[in-house]
Amino acid sequence: MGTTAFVGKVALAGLPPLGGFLAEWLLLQDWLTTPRVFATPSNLLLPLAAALFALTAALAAYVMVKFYAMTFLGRPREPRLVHARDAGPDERWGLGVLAVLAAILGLAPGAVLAFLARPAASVLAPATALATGSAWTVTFGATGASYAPLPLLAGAGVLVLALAAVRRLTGASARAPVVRPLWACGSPPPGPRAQDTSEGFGQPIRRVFAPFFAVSREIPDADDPRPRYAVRVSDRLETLLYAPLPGLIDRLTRPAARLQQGRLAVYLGITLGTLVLLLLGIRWL
Amino acid sequence: MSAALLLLARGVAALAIPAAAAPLFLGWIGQCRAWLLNRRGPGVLQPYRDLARLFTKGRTCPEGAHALFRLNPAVQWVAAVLAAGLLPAFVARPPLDRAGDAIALVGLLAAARVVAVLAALDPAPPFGGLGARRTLLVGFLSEPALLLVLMTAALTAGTTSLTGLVHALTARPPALTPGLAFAAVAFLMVLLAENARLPVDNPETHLELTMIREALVLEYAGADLALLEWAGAVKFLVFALLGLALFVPWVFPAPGAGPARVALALLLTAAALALLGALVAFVEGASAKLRLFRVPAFLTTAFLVATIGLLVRLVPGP
Repeated sequence: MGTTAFVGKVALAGLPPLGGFLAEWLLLQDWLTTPRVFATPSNLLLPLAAALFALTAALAAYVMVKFYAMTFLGRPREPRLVHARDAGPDERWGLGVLAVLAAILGLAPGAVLAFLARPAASVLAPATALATGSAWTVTFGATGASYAPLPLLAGAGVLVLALAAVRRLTGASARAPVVRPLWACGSPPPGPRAQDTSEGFGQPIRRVFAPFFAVSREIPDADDPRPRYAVRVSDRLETLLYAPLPGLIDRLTRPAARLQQGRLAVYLGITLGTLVLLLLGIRWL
Repeated sequence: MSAALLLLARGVAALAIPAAAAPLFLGWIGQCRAWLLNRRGPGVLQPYRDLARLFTKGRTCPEGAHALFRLNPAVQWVAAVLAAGLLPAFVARPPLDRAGDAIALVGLLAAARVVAVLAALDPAPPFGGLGARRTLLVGFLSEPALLLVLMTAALTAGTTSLTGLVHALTARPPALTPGLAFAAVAFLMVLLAENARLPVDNPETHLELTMIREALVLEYAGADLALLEWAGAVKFLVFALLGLALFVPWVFPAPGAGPARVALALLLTAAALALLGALVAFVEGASAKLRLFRVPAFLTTAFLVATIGLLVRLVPGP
């Protein structure tokens, strides 16, 4: 299960060689090398949009690392997780298919793009540059920048073979690594609670983006007999913009509820009145 | 047949020369710092001696670590050397150039960083989590700044392919425009942040609570640690060569040049790297390490400087 989650995580985080990076690469190619950035003043925002996009992609990598590390790595963080079992074969097959598809999307970019070329061309403006290339490479327009994940993997494979050959030649492969307790800089062996939890791992994001969050903290005193730490984080934009909307809609539609009397005569009267008004309106127009 | 052999030789050279030269670059920076402090210094070959010493020691592995932890040093080394192989620094047209451009290079280094972070979290160490959080914090704040600098260069050259960038930027007259100056300052700040140098991170610290990158390699020993240190040196050289490619691309060998021109280009590249190393040593020696909570401000400043550079470059001049 960890392997399929790893594949999904790498793809979502926009890391090469999988599909998320391909999407990022195509977007950045279009934004970075477009000549139309000089066309109108508002297009000067394009480079800033590209930078914000890079920030989003890097944050996505952060969050994916948090997800994978908190779920699959380290020691069980709660007592009941000690007895957790891996998923059964049915779940593994289902998610495995998705992982294989994510891998194909990333490793054969040209084939996927050729598949999508006709529908894309039918909805985009005719002069839009589209990425082309063979099944294993994708080239962007006339600039000549290209990205081919399989040759990169082949190069990586060559380097791995070189490392293995050197290791075999110098006899280092005969010496397996010695297994020993965690070093932790000589501190006493830490328990499972010394690891990062999900909230703890996200602390840098809360600190950097503090203006966007409303954080309420409960931190006990040093001599509190039953210390309790609690943090409540809420999104300021959600509280300001989105939360009032249901109340507003409710207030606007409340007068309409007064028409719902439950008596048939009233409903028929309303229908007749609306019909008369519509006919008069059409005559008048 | 001979064309294939030539291609193979170019590929091997593009990968092997940066890998072999990276510790020399680090040694030069260390020697410059020693001179600035009025000391004799250990010599520029000291990193080679350190690596040789580490390779003779045995490797260890903490209990409960899985394949991710064990494979991490090899992954880091392979990713760094592969990224170096994409640059047209020592070979005019590296064979892997069609496989990746500048964005792919940044993505490759980001993927290596994620694997390093995950491997640090694998055996559940207390300081591994600390190093992981901090590395990702520095990473996600420096990527937009790096991207803006790349964008400034790419909008000038019209491409993000590395050989295309070098070719187009060489064709322009070598003048230091204000936009380029701002972008160079931003790139220097990102270079210091991404490679764990002062003022963002002290590479020689032994205090765990001040570590950012060191905390990721605490649990490794012997040949594993040697590979990780070597990978760090290669990554630093990759960033330095990327900086040279963006700002002084005419030191690189042009495609189709004769052996004399190539030798001259290699000398110029070495001289440019030496100057850059001296500059980095000066900046490191003149700064104190930043408080961790000041690092986002440092990187946001780099982002703003890069934005200024981009806008100054984009606004049409007289």
